[in-house]
Amino acid sequence: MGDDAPLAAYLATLRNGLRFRDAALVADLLAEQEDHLRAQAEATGQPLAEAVAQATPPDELAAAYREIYPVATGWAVAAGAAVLALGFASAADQNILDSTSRWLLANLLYLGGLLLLGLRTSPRIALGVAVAGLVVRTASGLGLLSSGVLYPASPEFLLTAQLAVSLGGLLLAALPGWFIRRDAGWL
Amino acid sequence: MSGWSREIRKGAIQLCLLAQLRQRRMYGFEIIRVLRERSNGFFDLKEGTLYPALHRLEKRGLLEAEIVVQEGRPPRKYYQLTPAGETALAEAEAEWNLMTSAMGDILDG
Repeated sequence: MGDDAPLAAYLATLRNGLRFRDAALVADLLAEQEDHLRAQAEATGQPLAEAVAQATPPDELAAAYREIYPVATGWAVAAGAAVLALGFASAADQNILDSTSRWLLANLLYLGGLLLLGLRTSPRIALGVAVAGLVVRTASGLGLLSSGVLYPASPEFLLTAQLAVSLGGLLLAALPGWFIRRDAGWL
Repeated sequence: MSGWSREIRKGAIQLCLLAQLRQRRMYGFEIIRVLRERSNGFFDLKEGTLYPALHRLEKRGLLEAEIVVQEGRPPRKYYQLTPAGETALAEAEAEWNLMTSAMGDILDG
């Protein structure tokens, strides 16, 4: 299995370079590349890791495919792209299974930001932002799923986690206005 | 590889692929191997050149793919010519013959 690690890393980079492409297409491209590298290793008798090292760099290959297959359009993908741009989800949501710690950090920052907003602005503004966050995050979750970014991550886990964090954000945004006295000395 | 060689190969790859797939369906690694053998090493494609070229031809409707499930391995994708691909190959072949004939005349002075 150790021999498969470079292949897995290679395919992960290739997959990352094909964000926002159709999930079935990405799966097809990855399977084709894996089959090629395994066939090459078998035909030449070289270790799989060596075949991977000699292969076209995954970034280069992904760039070639991106030219052929432009980003799909649609509201869900647009929402996914928007949320990435806003930094709500960031790279963490793209690689939710590969990088759980980054995902947690991004969500801690998100929740902390909402709490701060709730403390420093009116409850209405904070709640408005939290509700917008819930909508955007849910839409982005669906967008990331439909665009194949999360392949082969667990969609149920992502959507549940997105929803939980968003609801948590709502509570945090509401907390200062409704439950914390704003004239408290430490504010 | 010289700059001339690269340019000539680049222009000929799609025609080579169509011609290669005229007789039977093939998968990527097989195409690379057969092309290398039949051209005495002149066309020694890297997979980073081959697969995007195959996908371009597939997207243009000149090739179609068939996925074959393999046990314990990722599925294998076989490419074959479509009727449109056969027409395109015939046209490209005629153009190629015209061009090589004309080039021969020019180079011979």
